[in-house]
Amino acid sequence: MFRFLLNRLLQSIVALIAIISITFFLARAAPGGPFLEEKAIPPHIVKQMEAYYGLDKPLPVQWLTYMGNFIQGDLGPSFGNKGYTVNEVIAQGLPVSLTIGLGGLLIALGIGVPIGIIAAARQNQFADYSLMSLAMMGICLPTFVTGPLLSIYLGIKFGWFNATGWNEPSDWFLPSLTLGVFYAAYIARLSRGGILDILRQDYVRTARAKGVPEWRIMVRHTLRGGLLPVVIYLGPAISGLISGSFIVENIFELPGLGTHFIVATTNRDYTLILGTVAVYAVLILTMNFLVDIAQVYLNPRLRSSTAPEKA
Amino acid sequence: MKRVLSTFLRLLLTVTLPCALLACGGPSPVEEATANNVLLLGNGAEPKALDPHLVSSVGDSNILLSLFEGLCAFHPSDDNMSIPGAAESWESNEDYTVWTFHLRKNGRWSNGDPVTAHDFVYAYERILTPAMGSPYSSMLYFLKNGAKFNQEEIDSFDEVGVKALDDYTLECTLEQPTAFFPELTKHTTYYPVHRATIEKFGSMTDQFTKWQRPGNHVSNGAFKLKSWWINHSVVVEPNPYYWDKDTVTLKEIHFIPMTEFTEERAFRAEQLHYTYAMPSNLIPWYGEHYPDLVRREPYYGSYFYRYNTTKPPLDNLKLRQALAYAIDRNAIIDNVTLGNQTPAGGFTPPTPGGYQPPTPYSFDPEKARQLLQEAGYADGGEVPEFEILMNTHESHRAIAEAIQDMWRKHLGLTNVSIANQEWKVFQSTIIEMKYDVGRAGWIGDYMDPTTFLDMWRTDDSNNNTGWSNPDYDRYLKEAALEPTPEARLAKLHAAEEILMAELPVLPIYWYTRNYLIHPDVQNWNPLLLDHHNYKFIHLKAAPPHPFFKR
Repeated sequence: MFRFLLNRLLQSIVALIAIISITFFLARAAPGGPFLEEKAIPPHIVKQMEAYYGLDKPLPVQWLTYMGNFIQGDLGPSFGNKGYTVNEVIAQGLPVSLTIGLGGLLIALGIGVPIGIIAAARQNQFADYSLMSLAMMGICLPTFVTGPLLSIYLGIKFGWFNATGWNEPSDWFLPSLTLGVFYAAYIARLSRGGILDILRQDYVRTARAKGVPEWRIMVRHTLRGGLLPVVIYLGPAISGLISGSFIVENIFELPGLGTHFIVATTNRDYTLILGTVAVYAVLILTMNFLVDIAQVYLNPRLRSSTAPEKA
Repeated sequence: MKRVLSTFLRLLLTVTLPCALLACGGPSPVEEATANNVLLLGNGAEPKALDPHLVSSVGDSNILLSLFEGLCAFHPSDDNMSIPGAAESWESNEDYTVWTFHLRKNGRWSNGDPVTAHDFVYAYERILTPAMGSPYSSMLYFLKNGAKFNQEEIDSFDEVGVKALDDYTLECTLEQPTAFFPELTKHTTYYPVHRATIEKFGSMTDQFTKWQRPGNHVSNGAFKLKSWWINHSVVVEPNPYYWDKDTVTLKEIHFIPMTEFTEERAFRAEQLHYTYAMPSNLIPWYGEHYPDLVRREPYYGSYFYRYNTTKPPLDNLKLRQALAYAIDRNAIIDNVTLGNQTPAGGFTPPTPGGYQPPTPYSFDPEKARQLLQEAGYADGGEVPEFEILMNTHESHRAIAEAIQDMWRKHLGLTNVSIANQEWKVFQSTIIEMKYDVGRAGWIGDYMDPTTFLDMWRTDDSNNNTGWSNPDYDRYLKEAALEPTPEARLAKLHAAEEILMAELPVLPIYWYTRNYLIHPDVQNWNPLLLDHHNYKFIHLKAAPPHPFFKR
């Protein structure tokens, strides 16, 4: 088991280096540069700026320098935000993305799991069909449709929330709801499926035969096992919620990582592009790694499948 | 079934209600802000810097306008007027080549230090030093030897035409007669910087230092920097040492980076006093229902297309002219841009009471067809294929499609295609001259036609059309030497006539500023350059407006 995890860890590190290197060269391959402005900057000035930021050196040298600094945790200066390092920009943005991501997760679970339970309890009845159709809609509706709709109705028409921005404590709610709806729908389907699996088990039938009330069967005997698929799904969901938030951040004009990423790409702010991609990559790789651990821990079959390696 | 539905509804309410109750009931953000004298402004994009020597965009300049003050300052309602800023008074010699500015003795930086003539000399040395890599240093080429020093042709800054005669007297010697020099001192590139602060955090020419941070930043304007949260807001508060602090009534200004679509939503929800821009399709709706909230004001800018004159078929002058006559500019404004823009028959926007450009190009399909024949095409279908290139934006596409359609309808052109590219890709395509017809816009930096005409000089880095005319270059040079302002404008007019006759550009319209503004904002006047002196802006709670439902 230890060797399996070490193996996965090494794979993650290789993947991270590959992601950063590819992003590094892709960003440089894109036409234009950080110093290209609408009102042209004279060539001799552009040269000075490139020299200042070390962009005049050969690309492989720049890449080696960047990787060296990266390993030491130094993501360099941001070209687009003069006077701020990429580390500082990310430190400002990450808490925002984490807040709406985790808020989205709470909402996804808060809506998804009860819907899944109800649908499973009323399998093949009207409630099941209508709730599952609703879930299907949630999966199909992209955030750039739900986001503006929520902002217009709950923000402007009803005035319950601010339509945009990140100023009041309640400002996390609409972005999180936008993000959460999609995952809620998915979680509803997952939990419905998981619970139905358990409901077919013999021990449930036994409990029923003994006259245990239906709600008790659900709460005491079914939920723990039935929600296992949801627990396993949490890893990808969390990394998806945090890294997938850039559209939502853009809709609500939040100063999160996603907004920084988009602004950085349009500005050709090379270091900030790399920095945000690196954070996303680390997040996703970490979550996948944790899921691997959880799966090995929860699933005895996986554990035994690693046994031959030990032999 | 009923039970299921009610369970679901109850669940939904338990999640949303507490949050909603927390959020609503109180006054709207704008109501609260007005009560506290806090101005909430949409400001387009996130500023790249708060260092006057590192910025070049309009949004960045708007913030710097609150933080810094040049020798002269912007008048609250008249673009053509300069009011005393850091300088109390100024005068020039007879031929406008030497300007003397008398600084006020009570001018103070936001840390209490006196503002002296040496601060200006230091600032001008900093922006012109080549190692600084200042993107807009060319604005100081008006100073004698400014260009030479910036381009490393001379080494000593002593030879550049700026001198502190004493602590409070600054003398600027210019390259050529410039009657509008006081105008220029209002531009961000002419602002002073605080030497001790710059050098506390790095060397004079360091681009990347922490002096621009809240807490470190020192400025000489009516406001000082309070906070800067990237992609969220820049907040400024009154400078307690400002010489005219009694005029300032605002307690804070929030500059908020937002796209036009979100801005409009935020305005609707009473979260902004002012939107930097607005979606053009909403302008008529606001104009009809809430004309008091929407402004449509002339703006000192020109929307046009560049022709690549080095490449067939647009190296053909008659064809370029035919295309210019075949555009119904009024139809574009009435149906596409919808913002009361002015059809541009020429390039430089007219100045009320000042420069009037030649405007030969109006809608004349008959003449257009005749020119097409003269260009050597019996029929529009014979014109070889060419492409209109623009940066990706819905409004640019709509205009391009309208123009493409007009060319087809009036000239029979069937081979015109439209392409769009992401902003930076687009810019490098234009600079590398890999286009046929390219969209462009130009906003004037100061109130003088040269801010529009200089770019068409041979080899100017903003020309990018391949067009060059020695007479044009000569006229611009000679204009500066004319003894009277009238003679100078006449010379510039003659230069622009050459530009219009040879037409490396296709003028389309002169900009308007279209934006939404809350009735609480007082003294926000229409300005051609859109440079507002924030110390004159006030907030006063207006009676409840039916538009805001909250």
